[in-house]
Amino acid sequence: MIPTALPASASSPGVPRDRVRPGRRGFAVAAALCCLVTARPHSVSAQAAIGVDLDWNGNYVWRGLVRSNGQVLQGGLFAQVGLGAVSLSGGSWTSLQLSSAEPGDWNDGGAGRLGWTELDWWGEVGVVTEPLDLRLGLVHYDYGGRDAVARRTTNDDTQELYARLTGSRLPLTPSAVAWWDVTRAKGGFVEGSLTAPLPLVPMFANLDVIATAGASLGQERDPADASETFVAERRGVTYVGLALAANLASGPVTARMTLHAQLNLDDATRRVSITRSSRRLVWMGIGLGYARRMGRGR
Amino acid sequence: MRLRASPLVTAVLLAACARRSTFAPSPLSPPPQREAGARFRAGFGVANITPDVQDRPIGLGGYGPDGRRARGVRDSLYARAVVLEDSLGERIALVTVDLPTMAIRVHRLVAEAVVAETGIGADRLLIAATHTHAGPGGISDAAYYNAFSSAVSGYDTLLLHFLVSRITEAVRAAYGDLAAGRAAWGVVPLWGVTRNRSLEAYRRNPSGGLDGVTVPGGLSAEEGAVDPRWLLLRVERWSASSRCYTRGAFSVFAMHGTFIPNVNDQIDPDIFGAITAAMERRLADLDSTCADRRPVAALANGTEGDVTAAWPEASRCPPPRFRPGTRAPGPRAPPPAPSYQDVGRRRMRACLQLARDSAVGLAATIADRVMALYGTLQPRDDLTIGRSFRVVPLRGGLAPPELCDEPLIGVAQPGGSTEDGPSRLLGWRFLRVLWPPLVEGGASARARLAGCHGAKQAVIKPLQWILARMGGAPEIAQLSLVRIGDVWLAALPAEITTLAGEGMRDSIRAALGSRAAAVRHIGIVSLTNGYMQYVTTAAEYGAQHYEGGSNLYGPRTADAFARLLADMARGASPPPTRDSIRLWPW
Repeated sequence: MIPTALPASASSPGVPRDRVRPGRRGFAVAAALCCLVTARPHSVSAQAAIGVDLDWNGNYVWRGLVRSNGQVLQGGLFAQVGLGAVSLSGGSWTSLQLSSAEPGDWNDGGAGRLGWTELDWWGEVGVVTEPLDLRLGLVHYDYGGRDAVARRTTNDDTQELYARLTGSRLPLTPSAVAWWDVTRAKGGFVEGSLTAPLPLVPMFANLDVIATAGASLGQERDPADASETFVAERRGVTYVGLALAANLASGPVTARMTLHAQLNLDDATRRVSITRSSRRLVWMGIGLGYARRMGRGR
Repeated sequence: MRLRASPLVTAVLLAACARRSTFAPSPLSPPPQREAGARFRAGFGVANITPDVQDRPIGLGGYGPDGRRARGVRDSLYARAVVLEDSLGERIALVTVDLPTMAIRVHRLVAEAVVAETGIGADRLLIAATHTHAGPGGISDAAYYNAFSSAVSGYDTLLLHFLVSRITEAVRAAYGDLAAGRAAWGVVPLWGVTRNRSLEAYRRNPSGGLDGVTVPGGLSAEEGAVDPRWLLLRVERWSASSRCYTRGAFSVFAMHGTFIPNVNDQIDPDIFGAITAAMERRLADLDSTCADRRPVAALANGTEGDVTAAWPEASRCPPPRFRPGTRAPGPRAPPPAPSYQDVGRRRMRACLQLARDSAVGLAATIADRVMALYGTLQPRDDLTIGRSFRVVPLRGGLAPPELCDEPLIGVAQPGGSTEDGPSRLLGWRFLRVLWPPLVEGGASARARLAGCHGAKQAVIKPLQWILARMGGAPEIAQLSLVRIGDVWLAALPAEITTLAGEGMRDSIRAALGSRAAAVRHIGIVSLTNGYMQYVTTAAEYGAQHYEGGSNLYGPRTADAFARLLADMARGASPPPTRDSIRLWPW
């Protein structure tokens, strides 16, 4: 059954625009990017790393939920400072809608809209003790949608605490991440994955086979609060997925191509537009990354 | 072009630039000029060949992708030259350089630079690399080594010309230093300081060991399967004005110059540098040594192909492991790709420090034993010098018939020597399942021999076929046979295994016939005047250990060189001509 209600808050009464302008946030990202590119290694005394990612995706799918049914350009910056096993890192991540989705398609900016839709800021503490990598962090989601039919609007801006635990042993790498929305949904979501990295060409390329599953533990629809953001209709497993990711690396530059296949188990994750739903979802992405390490860890 | 850690890009550039090449002329020496009343003369020269690692990326060569970019200089690299001239005017320059390998182009450019002034052309010049893996790569004649032998890919023209100028300086200094001298040979076995790292392959040889060498009791099988003989030429040059001797030495000893493991990121001459420094300190302490002159103790590598120094086990750092990425992914970025990562920084520092400390300790032990021999030698001033030089095409119609048409790297090579420090690629196989894995021995050797390369399983043969046509593999070899007094030196541009070298000695002795009785010793000098990886015996090749997998031109390469050296010994080798050989600069 297709629910008639939008699975995200659509309460913003803002003026519809063809393009959502990033404004000051865009300048902040540009300034950060400028700093990243011009930073010199000796300016950082501790073991440190900075990096940038840029990805094109056929769909914007987040925790199994289709957020934009169309092409998106997504990217982020990060900086990390480490001392021994402990690291502090932070960064930002943003999403831009590239394709003008069909009327009725879901889109964070609003159906048929282009441009900036989301800017996240995050910070985390990492503790890497072989064979585990634990990261505790906070992420702030800042949405740009103003349209009445936007999938996410400024009214959905929220913060989540998260904890990610990753194994660092091969041949299989397990990872689990738990999210807790502290502002809006005030509930949890857990996601687990199992990655099998397979070497393709020594030092240059490898193929990751990634199995994922997500479950809502409090971020499902609240019948008592129709305005609350939610990611699932019901508590429990919302999706299972399988991805093939080909990674190429040459020095600090990485390139990746990912093919995702997802089986949607929850009514919310089945939705790709207001009117369409699908149990199966397939999309692909291509990305570039640049990470520059400094200090003793080089 | 220098590209850090991007051999893939280099491979693309290789393809793009495949048609370019340069030519390196072979400047030959003029005939010896006999002067009335001439006596044996000797001269020493030293030049610092340490490149500036701050200005440009310098990859430490030899450990392949596991080698590091040089971040500093722990100890300087040197070229040490000993020039000898007999009473007939025949002259030879014995030069050792603290480099991973030697290049034909370096040899010929040095010869070209000094021949007019010194009479030392390519045929009188031996430049032997010590094989330190803490010296710069990127100067090879073959593109394969420039692309894959260090973390900094590409051919470094500036570095090559820097090295040429400094080595030239050492040869000129030694020539300018020529003065009445005397010299004497000695041989001492040094057991227990080296060991064979491919014993399984060694044991496949039908011969039991080295002629005239008895393995003492109490040694392990690995310690006994080496050539323990330190060949020492004590050289003295008299300074009439200062009334003192400039003392020096030229030695040949078989030991991989790779005491320092691959995690090192400092320029360092490694164990050979430590030994020569220790010997030079002891030489300086001898009576009547010129106090204002630095003694020179040049040390060349012998049949070190399968011989490693006796480093402690804990000094070998584990290779990087293929592990999940550790960069800060944040909550939204894609998961970091797995990559090869070092295994614990603290552990790396510990094994590196142990290696350095152990190298200094072993060097002191060796220097003490060698200097004890030095003190017993009685130098003479009537030594005569003879020489033969030959350029051997390795491919094409003029190549020795024993060699395979196509050079091939076996699957035993990329993983490195298991005993001496495996690389990150050891055990690697496509998608973890496909055959064959990159390992030494075992599955890397074909059960059913196939074609000229016999037991060797090649790494992506079509790709090697293409790379070989782009100048990826060595195409020529320069051989030298030098006689100084009653000792012969056979110098080859390869890493010769213990018993492959013994086969060459046997061949030279057989060629000399009755004259062999007057030969005291035949020293095999590896890594000289070029580089073409390893040369093993056919039996060792069949085992396809690291050395066999790195023996490019097939199982009979050692036979070819043995025959050619025999021809040179009997004077049947064609005289060298002023050739001009195509070399590929990438």
